[in-house]
Amino acid sequence: MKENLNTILDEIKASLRDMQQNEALQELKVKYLGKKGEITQMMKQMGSLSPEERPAFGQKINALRKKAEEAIEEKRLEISEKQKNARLAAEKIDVTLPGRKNRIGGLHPLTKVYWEIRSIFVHMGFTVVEGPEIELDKFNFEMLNIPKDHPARDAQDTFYVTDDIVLRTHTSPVQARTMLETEPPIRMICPGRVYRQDDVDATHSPVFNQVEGLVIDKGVTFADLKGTINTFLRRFYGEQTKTKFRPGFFPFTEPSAEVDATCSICGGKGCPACKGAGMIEVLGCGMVNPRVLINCGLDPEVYSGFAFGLGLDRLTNIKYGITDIRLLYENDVRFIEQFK
Amino acid sequence: MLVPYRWLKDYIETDLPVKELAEKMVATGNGVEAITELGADIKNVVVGKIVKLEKHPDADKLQICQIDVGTETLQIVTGADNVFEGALVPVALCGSELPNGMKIKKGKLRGVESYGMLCSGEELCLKESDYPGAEVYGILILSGDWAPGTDIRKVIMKDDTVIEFEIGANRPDCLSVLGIAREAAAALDIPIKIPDAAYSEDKNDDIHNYVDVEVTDTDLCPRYMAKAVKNVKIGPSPDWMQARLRAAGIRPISNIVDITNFVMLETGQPMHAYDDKDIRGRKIIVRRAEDGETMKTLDGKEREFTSSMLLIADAEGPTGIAGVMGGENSEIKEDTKTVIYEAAKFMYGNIRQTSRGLGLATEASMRFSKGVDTANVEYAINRCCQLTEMLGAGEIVGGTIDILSEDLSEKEIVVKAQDINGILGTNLSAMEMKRCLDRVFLKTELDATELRVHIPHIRGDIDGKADIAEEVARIYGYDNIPENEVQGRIMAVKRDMEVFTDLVRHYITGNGFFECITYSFTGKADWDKLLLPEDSFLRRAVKIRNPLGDDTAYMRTTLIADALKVMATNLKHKNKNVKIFEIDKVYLPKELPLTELPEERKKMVLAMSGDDADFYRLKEIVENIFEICRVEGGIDVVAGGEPYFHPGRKALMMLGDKLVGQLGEIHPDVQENFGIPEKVYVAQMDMESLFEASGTKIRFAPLPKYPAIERDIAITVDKDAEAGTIRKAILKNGGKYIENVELFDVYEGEQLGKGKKSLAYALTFRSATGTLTDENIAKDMKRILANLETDFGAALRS
Repeated sequence: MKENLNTILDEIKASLRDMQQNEALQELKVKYLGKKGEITQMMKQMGSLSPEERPAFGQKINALRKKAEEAIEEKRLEISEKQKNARLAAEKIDVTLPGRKNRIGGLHPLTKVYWEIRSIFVHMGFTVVEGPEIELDKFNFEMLNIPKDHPARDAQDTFYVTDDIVLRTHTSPVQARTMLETEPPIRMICPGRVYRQDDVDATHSPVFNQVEGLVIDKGVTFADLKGTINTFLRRFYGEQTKTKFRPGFFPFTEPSAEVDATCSICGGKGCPACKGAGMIEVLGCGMVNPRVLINCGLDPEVYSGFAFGLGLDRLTNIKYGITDIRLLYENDVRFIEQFK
Repeated sequence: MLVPYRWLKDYIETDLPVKELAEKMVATGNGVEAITELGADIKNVVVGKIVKLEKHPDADKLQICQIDVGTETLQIVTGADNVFEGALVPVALCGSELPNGMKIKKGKLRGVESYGMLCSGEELCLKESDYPGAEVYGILILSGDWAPGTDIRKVIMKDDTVIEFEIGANRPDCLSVLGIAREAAAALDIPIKIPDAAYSEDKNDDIHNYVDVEVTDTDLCPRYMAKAVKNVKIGPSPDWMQARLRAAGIRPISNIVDITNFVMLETGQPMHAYDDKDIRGRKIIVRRAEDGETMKTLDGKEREFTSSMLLIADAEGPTGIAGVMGGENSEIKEDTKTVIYEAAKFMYGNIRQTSRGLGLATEASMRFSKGVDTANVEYAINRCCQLTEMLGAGEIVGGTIDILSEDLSEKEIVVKAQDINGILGTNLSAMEMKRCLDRVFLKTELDATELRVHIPHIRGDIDGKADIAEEVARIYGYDNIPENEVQGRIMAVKRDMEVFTDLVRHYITGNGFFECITYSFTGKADWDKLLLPEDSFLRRAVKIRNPLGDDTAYMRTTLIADALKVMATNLKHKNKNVKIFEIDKVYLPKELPLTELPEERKKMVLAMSGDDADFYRLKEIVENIFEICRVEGGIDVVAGGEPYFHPGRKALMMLGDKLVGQLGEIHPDVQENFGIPEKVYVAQMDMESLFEASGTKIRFAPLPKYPAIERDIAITVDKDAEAGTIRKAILKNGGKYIENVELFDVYEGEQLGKGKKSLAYALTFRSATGTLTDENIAKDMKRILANLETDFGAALRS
C-alpha cells in the first residue's frame, strides 16, 4: 500500500504535466479527491487496519492528499493565468479609433469673459447687482447729471419707449438704484445688456453688454480708483500689463478717466488691433460726481466713491482677437465651440 | 473739431512736432481722434520757372523747357501749349509722387531727354476753388512771386497738419481754435496771445439807422448782439484766411461770409451776416415760430416750423432759423452794400430740439446745441468787426445793439487744499495746486491752505470742488497720482439666483448644448411666423418708438423666435446635430401703453435637431434640469402648448398648478416659416419659477434597512391613454408601501386589437420596519388593478 501511495502522486503529477483545460483538471480532482476518488477511498480503507497502524497510515494519506491538492491548485492557477493572458491578448483594441461622440457643448464667449471679470471683483468684495433694461429716463439720465436736452445725450443715441421710459443706454442707472437702496459701504458690479440706436456693423451693435462697478464709502479717493482698476486689469490681462489713465469726460463722474491697457494681442509691440499704439482703450471711470451723490440721497461731505464701466463685448473681442462684433450675436456653433 | 496746426500757432509759440503736441494734449484731457498731414500724397513737387522754351525738333505738339527748380536747371519736355517763358509752374521732379499714384522718372520723348514733368491742376488733385486756374486745360500757371524750388504744398496751401480733437460735452469752449490754444498753452506751460479784437467805427453813424432788434422770447435767447457794416466791398478773402478755413474743412465763399466762419471757428461763437436791404421793415425780431410757418433756408429747401422753434424774423416773416441756418432771402450777395452781423446765445436744449426736429445740423447748430458762452458773444462780434476792418471789407457803423438778459458776473470757488487731496488721494500743497490752476486760466489766490479760484465765464462747466480737483489732477498728471487699495474688507453677498443659473448652464453645456446670445428685439413678423393668434399674450409687447426697423420694433416676449433663427443659421451653415440654449430676459408689460416699467423675466430656451434629437431626449434633459434644481416632486408634463408646436407633440411643464414651461416638436409650418430644413425640438422654461421651486436645503435620509419587493404588471389600454397619468394613478392607489413605479415597455401590436396598446410597469414596494411578504401587498395590488380597470379600462395581460 505504501508503494501505492507514492505511485498515486506520480500518476497525478504525470497527468497534470500536459493538462491545458480546467475541465480536465476538475475530472482529475474528482478522480482522486472526489467522494469516490482514489485517495478518499484509501482513507476509507483505514478501517481495515490495526489500531496501531492507523495513525501512521492516516498521516501518510493526509500528506498525500495535501500534496495532491497543492499540485492540482498549482496547475489550476497556471491554467487560469494562461487563459487570462490569452483573453487579454485577444482583447487588444485599436486605441487610435475615435472616442465615442457625446459632444459636449460650451458657453458663449461673453459669458466666459463675464465670469472671469465677476470672479476677480467678487474676490475684491464686490457684490453682483442687476437692474432693469427697460429703464426710467430718470435713472438712465437725470439722476446721473444728464438733464433732458443736455448735449451729453447726443453721445448716446437712445431708444425711447415713452417720453419717460428708455432702453437703458448704459448700466450706470444701476449705480443710482443701488445708492438709493443700499446704505454705504457699497461695492458692487452690475452686468447687463445696454442699447444704443446704432446700425449693425463690424464695430457697432444696437445691443451690447457692459459691466458697471461702484464703490461708495467714507474717504474713497482717486488713488483707490487707480489701485482697484489696475488690480483688476493685471488679474484680467496678466501681471505684466501696463495701464494709462487719461482725463476723460462722463457727466456722472468728476474727475473722470479713460484707461488704456497694454494690447493683449501684441503685448505692447503694436499691431493692427491697437492701431500700432501698443495700448488699447479698455474702460471709463471716475469719482462719482457729487451731484449724483446728492441726487441719490448721499451727503458728498460724508461719502465719496468711484464708478467704472467696461464694455464686455469689447473686452471679449480684444481678449480673443475677434474682429467683428456681429460674430458674437450670429451664434454659429462653430464659433462658440472655439471658446469651450 | 478740426484744428490746423498753423492756425493754432497764431496764438501759441511752439515748434513741437505735432505728434508730441498731441500726446501732451491727450495727457491733459484733450482727446485726439486723428492727425492728418495735408498734401501727404504729393511728394517732391516744387515751383519751377521756365527760363527757355523751344520747339521739339521732331514733334509738332511737344515743347522743350529749360526750368529753374532752385538747385539746378532741368530739361523737361511738355505737351501743353499754355506755358511761356517766365511762367512759374509745378514741377514733379524725378522720384516724385502725385495724388493719382503716378511716379515720375527720367524719360525720353521722341529722342529728347526729359527730367521730370510739369503738372496740371488736376494732377495735383486741385479744384478751381482750391487754386485759381486749377481746372484750366494745360499746366497750372502759378500766381505770385515764388522762389524756384519752393515746395508746391506751400504754394497750394497744403503744407499744414490738421489735428482732430474729440471734445467732451462739458467743454463747448474747446469747439474753437482759441479754446484748443488755451488748452495747448496749459499743456505745454507756455503763454497764449489772444487777439485784442479792437477796431475803429464811424461814430457819426449809428446802427439804429439801419436796423432795430427786438427779442420777444428772451428765455430762448439770453443775449443778442448786432453790428452794422456799411460800404461793403464783397470780394474774396485773403489767402491766409482761405487756407485756414479750407484746412479746417470749410469752403471759402466771400470776405464777409469767410469772416463769420473764421470767427466761429476761432472763438466757438457762431456768427451770421444779413444783407441789410433784405431785412424788411428794418427790424429783426427774435421770436418763436407760429405753427406751420415756412421759409426757404440757405440750402434752398423749404422748411416748415412748429411753435417750439425759435426764428429770426423781420417785419414780414422769417429770415432765419435761430442758431441753425439763415434764410435764402437775406443771404450775402455780390452786390451787398450793408451787412448786419449777428452774434447771439440761443439756449442749447431748444437748438438741439429744432435741429433734430428739422433734421438739419450745421456747424452753427452743433455749437449752439452744446452751449455757447454769453460773454464770448461780445468778443466774437468785435473780432468780426476787427477782421472786416483789417480786410478792408467795409466800414463799421457806430453803436452796438446788445440785448442781454443774463448775469455776466463771474464766480469764485473757495476750496481747501485738503479737500482736493481728499478727492485725489494726493498730498499736494496749496501752492502746487495754484500752479496747476493758473496754467488752465483759473486764477487762484491762496489764503494759507485755502484756494480762492476765479472761474472765467467761458468755463461754465466748473461749479464745485470736484471740478477743481479734476483741473488740478489733469495738469498735475493722472500718472503722478498714487495707486491705493480701497480700505476695509467687505464680503461679497452671494446671489442664489446667479449661482443657480450657472449650475443650469454647466448642466446644459455638459449635455452638448452651446450657449447663444441674441438681440432682445422682435417684430410682428416673428409672431406671425410663430402662428400666434392675434389675441395671444405674446403679442402684447413693449414697443420701441424709434426702432432700427419693423423687425426690431418690439421687445421680445419669448426666446423661441430667436432660438429658431439661430437653428436656421446653423443648419444653413451645414452644422449637424445642432443643440443650442439661451438664458436671457423677456419683457412683459403689465399694461399697454406702458405707465410703469414692464416685468423682465429670465427664461431659458433649448433647441435641438439631428440624429439624437426627439421629444423624449428633450424631455429627459428638461426633467434632469428640474432634478438638479432639486424641485421637490419634480414636474408634471401634460399634453398641450402654444400653436408653434406640433399639435400632437407638445407639452406643458407644470409645477402644481403653475405653468413653468413648454416643450415640443416645432410645427412643420413654423419650421418652414423660419427656413429650417429639418425637425427641431424646443423647450422654454421660466428660470425664476424654477429658482423659486428649487430646493436649497439638503437633508440626509437613512438608507433603507429592509429589502424591497418588486412586481411587474402589463396592461392593455386604449392607444390614447397617457402612460404618465396611469403611473400617477398607480402611485396614488399603491398603498403605504409603494415606493416607485417605472414604465419599462410600451407595445402596440395586432394581437392587442385595434386602437390598443400595452404598457408595462415595474412597481417597487418597501417597508421601513420589516421585510414585506406577498400578503403585505396583496390588497394594494388588487386595489391598483381595480382602479386601472375602472378609470382606464385597463385589462391585465397575463
